[in-house]
Amino acid sequence: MNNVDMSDWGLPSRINYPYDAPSAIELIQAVEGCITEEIVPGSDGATKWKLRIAANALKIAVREIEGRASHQDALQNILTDLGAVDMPNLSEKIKAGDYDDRFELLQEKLLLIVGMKLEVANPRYFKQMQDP
Amino acid sequence: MSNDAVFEANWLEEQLNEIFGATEVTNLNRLSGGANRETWSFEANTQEKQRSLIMQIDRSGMDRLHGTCERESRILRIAKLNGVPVPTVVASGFSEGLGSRSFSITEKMQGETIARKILRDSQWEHARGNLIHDMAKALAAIHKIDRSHFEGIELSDIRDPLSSLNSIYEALDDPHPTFDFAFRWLKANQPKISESTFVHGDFRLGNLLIDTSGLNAVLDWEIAQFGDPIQDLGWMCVRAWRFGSDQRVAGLGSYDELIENYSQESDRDVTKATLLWWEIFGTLRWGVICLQMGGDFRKGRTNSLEIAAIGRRVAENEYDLLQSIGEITG
Repeated sequence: MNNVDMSDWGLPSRINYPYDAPSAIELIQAVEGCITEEIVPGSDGATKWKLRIAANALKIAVREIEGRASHQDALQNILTDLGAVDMPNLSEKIKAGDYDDRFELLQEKLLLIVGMKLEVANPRYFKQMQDP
Repeated sequence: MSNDAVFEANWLEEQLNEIFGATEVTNLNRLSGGANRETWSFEANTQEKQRSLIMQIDRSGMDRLHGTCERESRILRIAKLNGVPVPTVVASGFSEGLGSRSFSITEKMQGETIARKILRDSQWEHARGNLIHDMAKALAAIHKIDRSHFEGIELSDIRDPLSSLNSIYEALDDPHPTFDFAFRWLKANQPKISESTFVHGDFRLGNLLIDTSGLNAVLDWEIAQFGDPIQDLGWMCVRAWRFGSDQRVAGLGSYDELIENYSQESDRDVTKATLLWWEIFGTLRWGVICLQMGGDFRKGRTNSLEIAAIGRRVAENEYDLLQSIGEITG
């Protein structure tokens, strides 16, 4: 028994105490993988199409959970640069004409916000548009 | 009969019996696609003839869409009489068998609607060469139909498209700064609206049936209305309706080609600046529709995953808006 090499038996470290692994993200990824690799190949027509939408929705959910903390920090910095407290407030200020003399700056900052949204919702679209 | 059918097995045959005499329905299949309605294909068999037909039914639980299939069938009949290529309507109406949803039954025409196939597969290469011309010609025919033909059909008459779209956006009460930015730019750069005609409202690949020679039929008239005719041209230039192609007009060709063909068919002068304004308006409109559809899921009006997922397409439109306005102002 002591002859068995156990050197790579160690499990990956995790941070989701008190729960066990797999984590929420890992569970969603497992479902996505199951849909894409096991269920989709055996289905057709409307079912296949729905399953693809389902798998994609799960990928969005994973990217949102992974990206949320850093995106929220980045958003706060952008809002501060524009002198707005939150997104509804930024909307109000745009409508009130507060940036009419800084339209380019506004455009640039909005692009950063939208970039973060696309990184989660559809990173392929973002890349495709970045270098066509 | 598929087991997720929303109508009784013999309901469809009863409808057809009234029109064709004793009819047997076979090969009933639910088709994929179409977020606002359910679409089925089937064969209607009488002693003399077998007909391939399409049935559409309003999506359940969406009050906003109530009656759209029946209304569309009335529009199809008018369009057909006025030289627009459309399928022939066989039957339409409301039925208790469908939970009072409306339905339409039309002939099944041959061809392809899936944009990515039309834009990429070699079998549609010849059709691609004719499509800008065919689309411009169909649009000119649509815009020529006299308003009086539509009496009794409830159609919006949009005289101030920007404020009309803005009131939908504001009613949703979900602030999107990039949309506000776009509204502000569009307002400052709005071309004069010269006339109001009948417009299709959703004229783009995906809603057009293509055969090997070109455009075979214009489908999906559910948001037809009265408004500036150039909006139909701008709408098909919206990036979402290029389906990944780098060609600006419907993924098929250039602005100049569209302007030239449409001007010839319609006797209207269209400037590129006006076309681009309507493209950006169309991008914002699609963005607001995505927001609204995602909202339908959030409000529990539908549990459709497809519609829920459309909510996340808002960001694509925001990106396109910033890009397009940047190109013009930069």
